[in-house]
Amino acid sequence: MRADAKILLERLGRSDFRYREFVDRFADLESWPIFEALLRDGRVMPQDEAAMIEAATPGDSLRQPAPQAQPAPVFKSAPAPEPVMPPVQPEARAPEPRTDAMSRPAPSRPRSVDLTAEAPPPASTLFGRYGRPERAQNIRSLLQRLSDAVEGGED
Amino acid sequence: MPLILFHSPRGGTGNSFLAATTAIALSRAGHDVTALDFDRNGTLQLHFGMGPGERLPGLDAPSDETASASVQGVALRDASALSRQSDFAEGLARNEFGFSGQKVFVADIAAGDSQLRDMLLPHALLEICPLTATAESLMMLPGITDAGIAKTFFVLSMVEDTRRFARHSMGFLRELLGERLLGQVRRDEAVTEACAMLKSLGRYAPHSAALADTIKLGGEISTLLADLYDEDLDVEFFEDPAALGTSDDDTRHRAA
Repeated sequence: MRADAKILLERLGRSDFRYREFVDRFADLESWPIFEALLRDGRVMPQDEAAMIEAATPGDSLRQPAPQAQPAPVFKSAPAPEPVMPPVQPEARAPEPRTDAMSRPAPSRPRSVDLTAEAPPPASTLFGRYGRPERAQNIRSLLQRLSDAVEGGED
Repeated sequence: MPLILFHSPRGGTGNSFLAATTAIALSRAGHDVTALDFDRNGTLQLHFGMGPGERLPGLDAPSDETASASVQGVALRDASALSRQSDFAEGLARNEFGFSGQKVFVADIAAGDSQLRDMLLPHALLEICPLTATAESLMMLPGITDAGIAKTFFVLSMVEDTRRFARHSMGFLRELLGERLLGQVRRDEAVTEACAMLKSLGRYAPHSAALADTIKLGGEISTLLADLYDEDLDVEFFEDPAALGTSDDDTRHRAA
């Protein structure tokens, strides 16, 4: 229980309230078009990096329909997103990584960021700066499932 | 020691509040901290419990004046006038303001003053950019990243975890920003009330949710600094929510 809520209930002398913690559970997340618009912006996520990831993990495309054997999409609703990447050949599809990244707690403070750099890199991007394309892949995989949910008629 | 910028391209993100509480937290962690208000219409001092009638000494004020404005171990300075002087950039280049000295400088920069932010950034060690969990704030992200974020870390500010889009935005930004996201600070009416009472948040509402979050944030930033300078700082302090603004040494000397 949050400390401030606990203090408040103690002051009120009430023990019959039901406490509910609002958490951002992965299953509750929805695809908002602004999320995709940001990811489609080359200043946030380089499109050449996206293409590289796409090439490395063929089939990880938003327009790729979900295989029948996949579990049901986890999103309860999904406003229709625009396709982010062109479709790829279905036969080249790789196993989809588990998309539980959104439920992870934020990583602890950075260790690998060079804070002593004199000048910021020009027009580089969040993902490129980390040198961690797997993070981008997580989001792309997430958005793929969002798209699958839309195509599958989930709401 | 470093210059830490607090700047958001969008107003209303709690920038001054975060700058003030971070300055206090860093002071409590053992740093010699000076908080700089670069906003001509700034409210930084309000978060230290100082009203609008109390004038802060300038950054270039004589030492006998600067000794008279200290709150909770943080020296407060008005840097807005100095930053508008034509030779400010030259002064920065000549290191006339001691940004490479032993003090930690926490700078509160107005949202619209991106020119000043760009001028100060090369001399800063860190930039903290508060964002809110709103579409309007998210829309600022491409511009921020396009300008380069080698020194920039983010804080989700004024978070309302009972709001659906806010929760989704938090999840999205956590994944998007990763290690660049230092933490989140919940919206708390106690912040507004503390300002209205001309008290620091720690003194007015020691059990405030926002205070607990800013203590945690201060710990993250302090640890960042410790990593950078390989210092052995005592961060145990941050486990005590009442430590911000409620200690006996919360003495304030007001400028004439």
